[in-house]
Amino acid sequence: MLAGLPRKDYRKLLLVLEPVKLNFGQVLYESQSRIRHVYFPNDCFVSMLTGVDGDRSAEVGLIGSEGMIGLPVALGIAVSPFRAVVQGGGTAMRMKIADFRREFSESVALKRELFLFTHLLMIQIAQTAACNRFHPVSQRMARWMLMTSDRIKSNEFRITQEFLALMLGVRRVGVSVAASGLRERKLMAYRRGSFTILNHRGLVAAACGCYKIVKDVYARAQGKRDLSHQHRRIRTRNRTNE
Amino acid sequence: MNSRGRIRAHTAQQGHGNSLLDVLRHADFQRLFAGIEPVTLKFGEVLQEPGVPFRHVYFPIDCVISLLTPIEGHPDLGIALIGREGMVGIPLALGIGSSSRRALVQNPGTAMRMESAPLRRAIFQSMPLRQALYRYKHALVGQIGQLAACNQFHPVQARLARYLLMTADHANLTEIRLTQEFLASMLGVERSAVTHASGALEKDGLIKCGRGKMTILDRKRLGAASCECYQIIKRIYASMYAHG
Repeated sequence: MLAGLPRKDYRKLLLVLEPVKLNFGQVLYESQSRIRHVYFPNDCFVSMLTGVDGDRSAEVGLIGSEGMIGLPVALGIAVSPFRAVVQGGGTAMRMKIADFRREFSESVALKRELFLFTHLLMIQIAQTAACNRFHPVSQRMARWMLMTSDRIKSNEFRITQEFLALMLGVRRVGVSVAASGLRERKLMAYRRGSFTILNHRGLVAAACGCYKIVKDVYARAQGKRDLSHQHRRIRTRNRTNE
Repeated sequence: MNSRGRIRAHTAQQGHGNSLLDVLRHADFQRLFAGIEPVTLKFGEVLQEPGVPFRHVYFPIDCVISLLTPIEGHPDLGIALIGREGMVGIPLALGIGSSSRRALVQNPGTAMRMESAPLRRAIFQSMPLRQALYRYKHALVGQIGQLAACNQFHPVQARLARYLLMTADHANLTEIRLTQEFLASMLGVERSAVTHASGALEKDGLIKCGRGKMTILDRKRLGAASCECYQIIKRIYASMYAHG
């Protein structure tokens, strides 16, 4: 997300950004709690969870380096509707919300990026909602693996089956069955809390269509944005030439 | 008077019947919303198709619109309801001209309709409108997230109760026109599950089922029969104006 900003805006943000290390399982916000910082993940990724009945929760969104955690602040509300939990530990840049509000109001590019990302996340949430309702665990697990791998840009990640069960909103035994199915088909390997994707294309085929739907929407938005950057650059160049 | 107080005062003064329009001062409304017109929406009308650029946006007055996510191998799933607190076409507030969801009229009634280009201009020019739309967007995301978990975990009967109450709140009515088939799609279950759940609620005297309609008889007990999600979503909307 930050890398997509014009260099001038990015440099200005760097003055108020602070690098932090986020650990697996760390809760950035509880649902309905006040947001004090926004986070831009580098190599970590964070789950948005909706809790029900005190002990169960459903993951409705997954955010990595393409986005920001704390989007409600961009909409003028400093309260998170979801619980934000670090899924994959790593580093992120964070900013106090007072600083964020100022920078947000001053940077047209940041505003555009964040509104676009809010829209994309909404699509992800809506798709996940329908997916969780209808699609079998093994398809959803394949989707989850792929989404995670896209966000950390690695085929290997650490996660316990317990945690995965929580993310998919199913019982642990459901995850075990689905995992061994995917393992038997040699699509992935699972050893001591670590998953490795062995056959990416095969895993895409094993996932429900929701993976591709959301990925394509993100890719299209990304493409459009890159294009508009190019146009701007060309326009600027033309102006300089004149 | 603080801004919240002002918003309330305006609402009381003019009352278009839609909370988002009501944040505007009368003069601003006249100037920015010159082309807006009331339309009557019929049950089942599709206001927005996935991926198709918005021609119009709609501000419901006494109708209820369902937002649906198309999903492979199943009928579209209902993921949110929109009534007089909101609008159809909210991605425009973020500068985005289409949606990946379908919007379907679930309860007929009146809405204010406007072309999307003048709305973009109005959003650009009016800060109170912008703020109201952003807050509404936030609440809508919260609603969709909550319903995602609700649809996944809660029993059909509790979800049916929640759904009826939400629909009633959105349009301020107690008699809700809907078929069991439609309800099945909204709740993402088989039709027989809806028949069973509505039969149980009727037997307890909470609702009355007629041909193509359901009437709420005992709101309080229907609230108790609903899952917690009804109250949670209500709080999300109430907090739209409460957090700075």
